[in-house]
Amino acid sequence: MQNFKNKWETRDFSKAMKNAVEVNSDHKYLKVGSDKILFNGFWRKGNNQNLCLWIDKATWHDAKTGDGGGCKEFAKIAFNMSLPDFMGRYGTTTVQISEPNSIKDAFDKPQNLTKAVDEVWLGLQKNDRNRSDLADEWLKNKRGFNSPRQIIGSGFANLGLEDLGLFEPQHHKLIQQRLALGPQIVAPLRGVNSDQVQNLFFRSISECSKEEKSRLLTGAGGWGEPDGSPRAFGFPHLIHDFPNLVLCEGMADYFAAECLLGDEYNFLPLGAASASDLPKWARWLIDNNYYGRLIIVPQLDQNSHGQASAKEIGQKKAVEALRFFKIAKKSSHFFNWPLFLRSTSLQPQKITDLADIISVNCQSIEYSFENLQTYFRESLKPWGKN
Amino acid sequence: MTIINIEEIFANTEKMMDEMNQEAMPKLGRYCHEKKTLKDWQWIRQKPPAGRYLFYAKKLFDVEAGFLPQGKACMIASPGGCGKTFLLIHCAIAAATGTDWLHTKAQGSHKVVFITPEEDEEDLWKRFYNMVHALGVQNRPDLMALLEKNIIVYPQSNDDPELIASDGKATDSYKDLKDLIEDDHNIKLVILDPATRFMGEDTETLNKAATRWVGLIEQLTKSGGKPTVLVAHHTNKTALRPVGNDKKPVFDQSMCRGASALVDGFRWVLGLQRSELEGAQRSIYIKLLKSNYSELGATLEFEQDYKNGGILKFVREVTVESLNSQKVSPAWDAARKVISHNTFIHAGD
Repeated sequence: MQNFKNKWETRDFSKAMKNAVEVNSDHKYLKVGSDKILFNGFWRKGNNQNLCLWIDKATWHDAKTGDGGGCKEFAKIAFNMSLPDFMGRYGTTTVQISEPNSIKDAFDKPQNLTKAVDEVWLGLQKNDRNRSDLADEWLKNKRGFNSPRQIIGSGFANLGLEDLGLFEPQHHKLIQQRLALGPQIVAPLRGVNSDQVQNLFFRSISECSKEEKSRLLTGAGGWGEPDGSPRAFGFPHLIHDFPNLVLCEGMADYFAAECLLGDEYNFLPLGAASASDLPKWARWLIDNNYYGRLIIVPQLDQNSHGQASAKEIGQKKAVEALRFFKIAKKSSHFFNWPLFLRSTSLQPQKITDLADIISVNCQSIEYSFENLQTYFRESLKPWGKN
Repeated sequence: MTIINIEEIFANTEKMMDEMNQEAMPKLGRYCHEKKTLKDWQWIRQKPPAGRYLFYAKKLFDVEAGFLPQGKACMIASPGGCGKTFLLIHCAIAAATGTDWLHTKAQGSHKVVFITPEEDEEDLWKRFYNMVHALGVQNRPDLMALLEKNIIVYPQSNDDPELIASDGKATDSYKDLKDLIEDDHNIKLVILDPATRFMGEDTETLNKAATRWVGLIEQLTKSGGKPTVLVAHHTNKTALRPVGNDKKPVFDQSMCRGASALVDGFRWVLGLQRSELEGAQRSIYIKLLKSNYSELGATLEFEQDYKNGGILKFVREVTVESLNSQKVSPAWDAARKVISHNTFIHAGD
């Protein structure tokens, strides 16, 4: 690692230890409080919540083995790493890049890119071969995905300071700002015209404010192509090769759909930027004579009473998208949430989107990913009369 | 600790998806829907379902005849002082408990909304209390429980209960009422007393405005659990024709006050008239003026028993014979008086 500060402060150790625990521990046993974190001995495959990390002091104790101490001991015992290596991997980059930038300062005025985003994407993937795969661990441990590297074909990558050279100078502040927030997962966005990655989506995998949770690469066209066509998670350029499209909202739901579809070769999942982009996608599909069936997977946004409601903005946008298809007399319907919820969840109150189904179910002793896949495919049939 | 009802969450998700599916359907032109012929409808080969009513009247040989239709806009029209509110309170109690009203009986017990902007809390309290005790319901814990659970009462309030604005659009009051009905599918009867308080400024004078108002009432009958909406309306001045003891009461649709579109729009209209008999129990005559679903039937005579909460007690069906017998009785009594007087005189001789 380069440019280490000679001296870390307690809060730097705390942050690094917290990140390491959140990413690696089995979250069945993870309990995060304001001043301490309880977790399992994940490096020794412990299945009890018998470790405690005191956040304010950056100290820890293993009640089973009697181990404990500071960050250095934690790095050694839990990861067999030196302190600098541990801090390089799990620490925020605040220490390397002085204080974190404000959001405003993180963005230079967008300039024309001189390097294809696809090249950056390939570079990130290449760098992933020689570093710890925090994004994969987060998807597995925190979100409940089985073998995400194998199942999520559209890809995802990690982000580190060593990647800075891959990006154009105008993006350096943005990358530093993202890293200052903690570990990131990077997902590619593609357009409808080619398989080239057109933009990158950065999402913080450690806790941060909602406003800072995710960003796109600036100056790369956002969620739209220059010709006005939309971009998405997945492989939008393959749309016309598939008789069924499963259109969901956001990265997590897209990953969930890709995993749940598995080797179902008749269905192409797509992840729109947000609910607001669902109507844009519907409009584009109609204008471009998509011949197949559209299945929209709306998120279950809740009202002030904690109930999913058709009056919430996400659901309204999904309705708007479906109506475009209905007016054009094209085959379309909503994902069969009632069937899927009934079949898969004993805790429906915790489910607000597709990704929740996986993360909530994986905590159950009777969890079976294959069962989830079966019910998901069954729920691709319409609900009600349609 | 919050108890989570999983089944409720599933049901809510289903409801949400139903609503979303419905909203996603494009709004088609009025005549752009599928062109269904009578063959498609199967209306001339399959027997239609029996009409549903909140109340049924017993006829000869235990045959039941539907009285107050379910899920329709219905009206009771009468001159002032005939006991409309008594009648409606009794109707609410009967519907809520599955008991008798007039010459009919409620089919099951239902939730009832009773809105009467002209009656304050104390007046309504007295009316309900007297009516319940006159009916003897207080001795039936099962019926008392049903009553307390099933009747929702809105007495006089400062809010304007008009359902329609001067531009013909629904008011907030209307939307609130619709929300109330939609939130509880067990509501099967909504009573609005009197209709004038719920009308707009032109509803009684302009047919177009009246039609719009009736249209809004019809929308209520299609909301939630599809309740019957029963409104109490006044008759016009020419209908103020109290009936003497030897005259058959006269009923017709024109007795309802205001634009003719009001009566035209309601599916069922019940008329009330009162008798003028000094020193006697007052008689109330009732006749169906309009019913799109059943025969109108005869004029029925009831006695209003003020000592017992204003209950209307069924006396008889008004026929030519019953009127003649009414005429004969006093004449015979008078003759008998003369005879007995003469007999007395002769005896004195």
